Amino acid sequence: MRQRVLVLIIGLLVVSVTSAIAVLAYMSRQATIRSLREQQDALTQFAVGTVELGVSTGRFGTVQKFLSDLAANPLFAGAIIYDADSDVLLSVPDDFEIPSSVEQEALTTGGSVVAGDLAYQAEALEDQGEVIGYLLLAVSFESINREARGALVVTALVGFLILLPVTIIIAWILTWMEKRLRERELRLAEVNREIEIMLNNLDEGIFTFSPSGTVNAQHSSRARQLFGIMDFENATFSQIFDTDHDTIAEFQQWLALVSTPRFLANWEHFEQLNPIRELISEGDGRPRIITVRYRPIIEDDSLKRIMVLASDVTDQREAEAALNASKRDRESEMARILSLVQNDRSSLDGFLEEAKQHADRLLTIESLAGTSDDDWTDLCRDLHTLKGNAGSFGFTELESIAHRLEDVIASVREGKEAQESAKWNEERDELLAELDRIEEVRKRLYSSGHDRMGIDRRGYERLLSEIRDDELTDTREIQRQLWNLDALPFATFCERYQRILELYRQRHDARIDDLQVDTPDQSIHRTFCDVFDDCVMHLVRNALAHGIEKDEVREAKNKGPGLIRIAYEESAETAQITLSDNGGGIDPEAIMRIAVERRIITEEEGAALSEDERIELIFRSGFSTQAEANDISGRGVGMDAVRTQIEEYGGTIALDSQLGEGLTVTLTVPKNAVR
Amino acid sequence: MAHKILVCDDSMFMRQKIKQALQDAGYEVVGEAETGVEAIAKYQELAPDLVTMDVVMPEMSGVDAVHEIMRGDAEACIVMCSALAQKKLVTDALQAGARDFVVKPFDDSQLLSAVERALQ
Repeated sequence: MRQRVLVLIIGLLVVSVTSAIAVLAYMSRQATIRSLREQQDALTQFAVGTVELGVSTGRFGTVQKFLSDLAANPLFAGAIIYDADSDVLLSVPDDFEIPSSVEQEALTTGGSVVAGDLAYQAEALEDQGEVIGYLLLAVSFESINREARGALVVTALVGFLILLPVTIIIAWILTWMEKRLRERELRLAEVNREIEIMLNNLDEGIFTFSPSGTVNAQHSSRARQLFGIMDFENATFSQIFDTDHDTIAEFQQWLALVSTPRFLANWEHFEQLNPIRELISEGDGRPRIITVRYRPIIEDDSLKRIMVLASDVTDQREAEAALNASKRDRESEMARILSLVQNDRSSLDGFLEEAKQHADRLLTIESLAGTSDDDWTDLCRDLHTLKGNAGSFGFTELESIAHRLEDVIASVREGKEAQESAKWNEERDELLAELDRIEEVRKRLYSSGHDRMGIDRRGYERLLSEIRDDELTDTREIQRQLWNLDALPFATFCERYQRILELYRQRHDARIDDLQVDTPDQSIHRTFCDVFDDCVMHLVRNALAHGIEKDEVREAKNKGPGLIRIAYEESAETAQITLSDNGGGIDPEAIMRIAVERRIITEEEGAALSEDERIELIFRSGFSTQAEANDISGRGVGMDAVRTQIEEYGGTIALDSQLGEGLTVTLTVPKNAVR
Repeated sequence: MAHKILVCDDSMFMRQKIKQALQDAGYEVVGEAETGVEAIAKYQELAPDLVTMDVVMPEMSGVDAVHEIMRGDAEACIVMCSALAQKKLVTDALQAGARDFVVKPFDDSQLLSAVERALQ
């Protein structure tokens, strides 16, 4: 558009320059014409004179020659000659009529001329005596005009020829400029398109508005979706934000405030005052939560535009809510575990039994309306007891459900039965579900039959804080760590064997050192305690009864007090207990003899066995080196039972006997078989 | 020389908290006011360099007090202390000439940066 105007202006300029040149040329021609007229005047005088002379000498032929020469002059229009001798009036050319102006001219110079009827009077000339002819010369103005026109055309042509290339060059330059302009326009359009594509691919709804409050047309396609607006350029804030007049007024007020340089400098701080920072977009389907942020676009230190960035945070909020819910669930679960592990089993059993009875009574109430006052009193008492006990045992969730049920009863008694009925059922079901959950955890924790978990309190607190701080979110990992918490120091596990040892020492007054636990701080999971417990118990008893010699024997051998050592080790795959004593070890010969005696093998078979094979005989069913079971060595459980139990778990039992010096028994169990 | 500050809040706890934070940062708290009316009187009397102004106070609101103080002293430097729900009132106060704001509950650093910005 602009280029066209430019071309038009330049075209007009060219035309006016050309016209001006033509006008100037015309004016200069007019001057030429004026000078020619003057010349003509002079020529008339001159011609008259010449003819007088020519004719007076009687050389008429000369006159004719002169005339024909004169006729060749483009200025010559015609002539009239009077021949006094023959009284003839000649006109050249024959039809030449004297123009009145010329006649006037001639008269002023002294003659009288009558044109048309050829009656010519030349008194003035005759007065001069010798004049025999008179010539009137007329100049053709037409020819001059023709010439002037010609000159004009030539000037215009020359001007045109000079101006044409200039015009062409200008036109070319203009075209070139226009082309460049168009290229730039295209490039700009391309960039705009790229921006648009970019905008449209953003997950954020973006549009901009100016501080005066006008919304700009450009926006991301997501913005259309989030705000439900198709035409941003003509949209108002109340349409875009779908909000009431007051909020928009506040928004405008905020806009005016942040447009000032002082507040602009701390945009993020003052953005907090924006009244529209979150929207609920109804749209189609479920409502979406949209957060809106505002970013300033600053040019030359002043606010040029404000960019609106809107994001749909519905999913995020839901995920957060779900995460919080699952976190709450985990915490409740932890609280249940803690309550269970903190209280001894018998009182817990009592509490849970009573709680179940209360719950069962709740179930017998079918309709809240039909409940008598006495029943209400009972119910309230039940719930109150339940609430109090749950609180003292640390079952906070159970406590709060009981509390809510009490509230429901209070409402019902105030006569709000109708709307409370559903709530009653809901809370009652929740109470039953919570009891089930507690029961489930209890079963998990007490499956091993221990009265009280030896849970590592510090480890538990650490785990709880990790869960609360979201450092630990994987439930499987939480379960694993929970599982790990159900462990105790190996020294604690070994206390029971120490008691056996002490009992033996007291009864037999034997010189035996305390049980030496080599790995007291190594933690052992309750599951492995269960796996190893009976076996270790048996091995300790064996060591006391058969391994460690009587005091007198030891003294004779110059051996110190008896000693039993125990160690527990875990690798990634296995759990291992090593029990050793400094007794007499296993005598292969003695073992073989007993085996033959008890008809486990024949004498021949025994003779054929190697030392190790003979030692292995202690694992045979029916082998027992002592005739009677006593208080220490147990109730007829032999080494075969130990091996059977360990092998049940896919484990192994290894003996390392040094005759006269002691025996080391190693029990190894693969972890995965247990867990 | 330490800037002189007037603390206006109807809650004694809040006044104490603000005062402590300001004094710890080296400001001089020259006075305290419990109402908007008191704030105006104390402002005229003490001519402090800065005022911290609660939005909701008995007798006269913080916003009205800002109007009144600004009318007497166009150069007055006021920082609003508000709850989150009082956006509109804070905006009004800023429009009336208050320089900055801080949202309760705030920690000391938030208060101090608002005060520093306002004093610039």
